[in-house]
Amino acid sequence: MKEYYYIDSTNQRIGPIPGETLPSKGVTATTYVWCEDMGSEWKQAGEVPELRHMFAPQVPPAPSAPGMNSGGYGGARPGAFPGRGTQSGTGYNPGYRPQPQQPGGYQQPQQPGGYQQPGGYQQPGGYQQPGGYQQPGGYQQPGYQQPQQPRQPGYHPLQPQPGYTPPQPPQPGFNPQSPNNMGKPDNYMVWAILTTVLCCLPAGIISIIFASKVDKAWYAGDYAGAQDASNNAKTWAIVSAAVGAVSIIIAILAGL
Amino acid sequence: MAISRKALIITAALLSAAVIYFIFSPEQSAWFPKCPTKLLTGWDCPSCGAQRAFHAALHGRFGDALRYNFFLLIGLPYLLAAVVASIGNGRVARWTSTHLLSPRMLWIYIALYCTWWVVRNILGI
Repeated sequence: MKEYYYIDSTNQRIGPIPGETLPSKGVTATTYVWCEDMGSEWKQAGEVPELRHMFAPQVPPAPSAPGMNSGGYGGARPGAFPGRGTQSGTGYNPGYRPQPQQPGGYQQPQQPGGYQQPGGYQQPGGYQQPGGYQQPGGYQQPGYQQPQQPRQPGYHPLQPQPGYTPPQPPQPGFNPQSPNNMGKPDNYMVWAILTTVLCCLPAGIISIIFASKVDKAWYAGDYAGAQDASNNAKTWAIVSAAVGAVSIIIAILAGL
Repeated sequence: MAISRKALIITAALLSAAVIYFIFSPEQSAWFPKCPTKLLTGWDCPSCGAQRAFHAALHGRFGDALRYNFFLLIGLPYLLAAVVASIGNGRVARWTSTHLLSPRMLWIYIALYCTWWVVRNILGI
């Protein structure tokens, strides 16, 4: 099995560790994981084919799970969830992640779409009554149908969706705004401190100051700021190194 | 693995630097880099003496090394902490990153650095 990184409860990126050891580290189906094949996407462990089986016990919730039967939560699934399912694979689309993970925000937009499209809604559920009395469009009244639908037994098998069930707050450290989905940008701290040890310039101090801002901005959720600080820390470390190189040249010329 | 390759390059660079600083004395070889601050102002910078200190330390003269630049006693361990935080990804690296390399500790480091800069020029050390 491949090596995976994962995000722990304090938003630290941990890894790489072999995939089969993930569950022993407290990784659940909703924990974000990443391996080299996944490009810039972090996925929930329950959505990764190779890992999915390890989180199988979470996949089939009880058919009569509370909450599933209420309102339009379940009713929205056949029409709307397939779209969500494909989206969830794209990982870091801005504005996407917070929505599916908050039950409140999830239900509301779903209800109208799911209910008002009879075609997409009724047929996959298989609950149309024989005899076709629901078929004529003019017969059904919207107010009549809605309370009945969630109680149809043929409906439930559609509901279990790995990675969806346990709502979790979004992980702030892995927001789509982040320019580098692998984690926080490098703070170039080694180079910054190295320039203060080896080099005599204020550039080293400036580099340290920017380096310290990288982590601070990152954990405050300011990903653009973290990237800026990272770039600045790098720039000043390079300035420092460049001045060092020039001084070597001056030394050589002076020695000739 | 990117990490091990990085570690390899750094190790190679450190080893070559050690060889160069062991063989040549910065005081007697003209082509070692000179401190631009000292060339321009005549003042010692906080790192002045580091090259001589490395040369002395590589020859086992640690007392001399310390006298060339006392700040290395702080700077080198701190550099080591930054290296640990940078190349590791375990518990130690995280602890180092959040405790030793916190913004407050960095400001203390900068304050010590500047204080040393002033003090060494006043006392001539």
